[in-house]
Amino acid sequence: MATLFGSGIKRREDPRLITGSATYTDDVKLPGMVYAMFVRSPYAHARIKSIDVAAARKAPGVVAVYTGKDVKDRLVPVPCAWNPPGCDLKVPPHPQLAWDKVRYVGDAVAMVIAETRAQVRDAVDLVEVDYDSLPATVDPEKATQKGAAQLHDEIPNNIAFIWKVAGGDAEAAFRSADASVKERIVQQRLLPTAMEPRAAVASYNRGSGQLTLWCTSQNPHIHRFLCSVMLKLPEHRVRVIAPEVGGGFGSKIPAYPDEALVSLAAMDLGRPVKWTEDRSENYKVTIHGRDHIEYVEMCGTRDGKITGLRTRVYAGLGGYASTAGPGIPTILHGLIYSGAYTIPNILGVIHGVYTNGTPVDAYRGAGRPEAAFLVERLVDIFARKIGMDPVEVRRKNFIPRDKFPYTTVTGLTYDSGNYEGALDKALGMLDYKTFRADQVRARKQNKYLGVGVVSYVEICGLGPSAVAGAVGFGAGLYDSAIVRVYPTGVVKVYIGASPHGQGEETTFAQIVADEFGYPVENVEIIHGDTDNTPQGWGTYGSRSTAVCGSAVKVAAVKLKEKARKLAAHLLEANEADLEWKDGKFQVKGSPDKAKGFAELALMANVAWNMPAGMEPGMEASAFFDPTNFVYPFGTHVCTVDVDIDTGEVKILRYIAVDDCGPPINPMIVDGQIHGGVVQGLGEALQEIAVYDNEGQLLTGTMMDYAVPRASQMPFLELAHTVTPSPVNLGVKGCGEAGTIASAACVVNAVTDALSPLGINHIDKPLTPARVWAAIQKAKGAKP
Amino acid sequence: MKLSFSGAPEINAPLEAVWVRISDPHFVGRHGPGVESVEVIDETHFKVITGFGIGSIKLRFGIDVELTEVTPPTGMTLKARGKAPGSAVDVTAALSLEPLEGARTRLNWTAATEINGTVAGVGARLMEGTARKLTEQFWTRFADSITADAPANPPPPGVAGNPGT
Repeated sequence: MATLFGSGIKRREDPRLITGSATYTDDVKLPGMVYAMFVRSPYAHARIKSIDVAAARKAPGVVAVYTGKDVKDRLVPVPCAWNPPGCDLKVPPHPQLAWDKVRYVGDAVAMVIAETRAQVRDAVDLVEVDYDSLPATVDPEKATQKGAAQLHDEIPNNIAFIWKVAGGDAEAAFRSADASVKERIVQQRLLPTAMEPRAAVASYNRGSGQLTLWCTSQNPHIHRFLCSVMLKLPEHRVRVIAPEVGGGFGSKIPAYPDEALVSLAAMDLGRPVKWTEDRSENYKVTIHGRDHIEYVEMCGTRDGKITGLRTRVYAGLGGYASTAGPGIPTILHGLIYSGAYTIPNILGVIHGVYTNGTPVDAYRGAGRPEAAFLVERLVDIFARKIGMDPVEVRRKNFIPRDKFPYTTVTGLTYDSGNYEGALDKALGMLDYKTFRADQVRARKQNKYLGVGVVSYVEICGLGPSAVAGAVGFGAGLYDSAIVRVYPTGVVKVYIGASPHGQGEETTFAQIVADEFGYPVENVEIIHGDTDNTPQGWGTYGSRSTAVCGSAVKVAAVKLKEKARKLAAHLLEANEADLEWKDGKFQVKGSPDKAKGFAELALMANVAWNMPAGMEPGMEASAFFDPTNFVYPFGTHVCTVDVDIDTGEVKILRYIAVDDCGPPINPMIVDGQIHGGVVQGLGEALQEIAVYDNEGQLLTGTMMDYAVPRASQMPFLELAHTVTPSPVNLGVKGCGEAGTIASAACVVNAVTDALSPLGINHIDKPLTPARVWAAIQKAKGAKP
Repeated sequence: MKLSFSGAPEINAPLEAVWVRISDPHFVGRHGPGVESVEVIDETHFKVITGFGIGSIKLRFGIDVELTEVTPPTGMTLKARGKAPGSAVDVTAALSLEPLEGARTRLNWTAATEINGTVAGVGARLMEGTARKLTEQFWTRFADSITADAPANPPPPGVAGNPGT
């Protein structure tokens, strides 16, 4: 019987998504429901002098108005849940509604609730807020300097933490190196731009004391936990439901003020309260990504051996510490500085800095793209300095295939890898040598072609819970599944992960169907409701398949074992004489004496004839805690043509060779790579969230923030190598890989094209204006 | 976002006549873009309601104006703070009048504007152009209007049209 594992069947969630029959949070309509909207600060930094809500209270349809002073003693401030050890993290209180000071444009100062959406929209405009504006600081490096505006009185120089990663002796390595290079790299702020903005509907039953919160969540169990803390409610009185969720990219991990506020209002009013973000609001108040200023250095020998890497990073956190904010530029960034290489000496000093911007948290890749970007940029710049082909420098420093598991000087143990294999495959697809020859010919005709190569490795499958605890992450990182088989043999699987576009309703069903000898139609995957799914930690960090998928498998295997025992009992055979063949347990050599899984499920569910000591029913649960992270890797290669007169970058070819272990559903893996690469190309070429010096977000709409359009994207040539992880399913995760590789790949290609002009680096996004300016500067600097 | 503008239009009226007009909040208000009402609170405080659009957004601002320094008949400085839903505008401005030959007057003005909130985030690309246009319109209409009020000095062709930059 053919297995479903490895089969690119169509996504089972798509029919409802593409026919409009899915239910998103904003589709939830409850009797008596009222609507909330927030009054948000137009200032990036200001003292609140007074708030006059009298006119809003009297407006038609208004049922309640709340200010910060009304709620500050009733709610626990929005928690930060990641406190990396040894860095003296300072977390200021983050009130749900600002009451003394606002710290970014969009910081909420009041909530208005009215009978209809139109009425609440009118009423928020009637709230009069008097501010005393203060100087703002938006640049994470300048914010630490003397004279910069101070966001929080108790946090001098806006420095939330200084975190260090060190291995070997970087100072000594740089002192004794043949050659070294350095660069200043800005990894711009990005707006996650999930297709569905955030939303929340809260409903409170005064009789039972039960709060139900529908919200746009990547991790409903984390939201349940944090909402129970903020609302001071027992956790079992809080039910969080993430219905259909239209993308997250990390932005739907954190706890936000709004979810707690609509819950509080629902409890006060005894009526369901709904809030739905609009796009401009989404850009202002939903977390942003990246925002690093990095001083980076690499050193090595003249023949290409990298001996040291050093960084000093200023990571903007925004006005407050978001849920996972401090963990992103530290644990998920600095620990992977070794990349795919045996770098013996590493020192990173990361400053987490409060600025008058929207809080920064996980955005696709979360810390790892920033690390891959700086490492892969430095490899190219170093190669150029010593006059070596960047591909050869990579080869020379790769962790060799036979050295896995490999422990980096930063303390990570990579599970498995074959970096050279992926590199060879990608270069073969391009025909690297021929391209280099074409490049030389083209330059004679004043055409600037370039090739960028990136060999990335990432930390995925987050992760062992003991490690989560050790690195200060305030949650577990195991995951869970309940496999419930109905009397007719069909299956529902309740999972702790919370997919929102990744296709796990398909891939997880493939795992279970294979185990039971079923067509995939017999299995449904249920997720997103904390009242019926087991404790889990959500979907992010390319963890769902590696961790939750493993839990699904373990639970299914438990039932298969039960079914085997029951089959032996019913067939009056020895368990050892049974074999699993063609989807049935059969007595070896007697194919007519066989029981399929559905029949065994019926017998277990009716329990008429059970073996002694066997419980009735066909249901099992599993909690899977991985022993290690998984480390997917790959090589991306792209070629570009840079118009020397206009600065326009044209991508000629984009080749991605990724290794995420054995793919359960190759079509879904390719879809994840496609989306990831495109998101990275957006970052490389056109996306940037711009604050002016006063902290005004100038890219407040999709007219100003340049999300990639399909017509702008090149054809993506995908291929894979398969190096299984030694942990359970062997799979490694592929959700973030594309983004981690592609931004650096494009910048490497463009700087390669412009290397005759002596251009080593141009900061993303490589808009024509920026590339053109770099060309002019380089030409002007020439004698 | 911060924007600064300045200009020095010539007005075809004597300095004293210009001063009278410029000291009259109702007269000034009549020429402001989209001004709906001007309420005089006392000699140095006014409240202005005005509505205008930037790109796709239409805003209705309530603006508190305070004359911070008045030196008749040649100059004044003022502060204005405008609030609209989700947006705020702070302006500090200085005016000085300079007599010219032929009973004409030069009006030197500077204005520093800080724009906050939705109007900055949504209208950033259009802001400078729109703010410049509105400012220029204001001074053009203001200068034209004073000139029209002073028939003793009919404007030579083309003179009053210099609104500055």
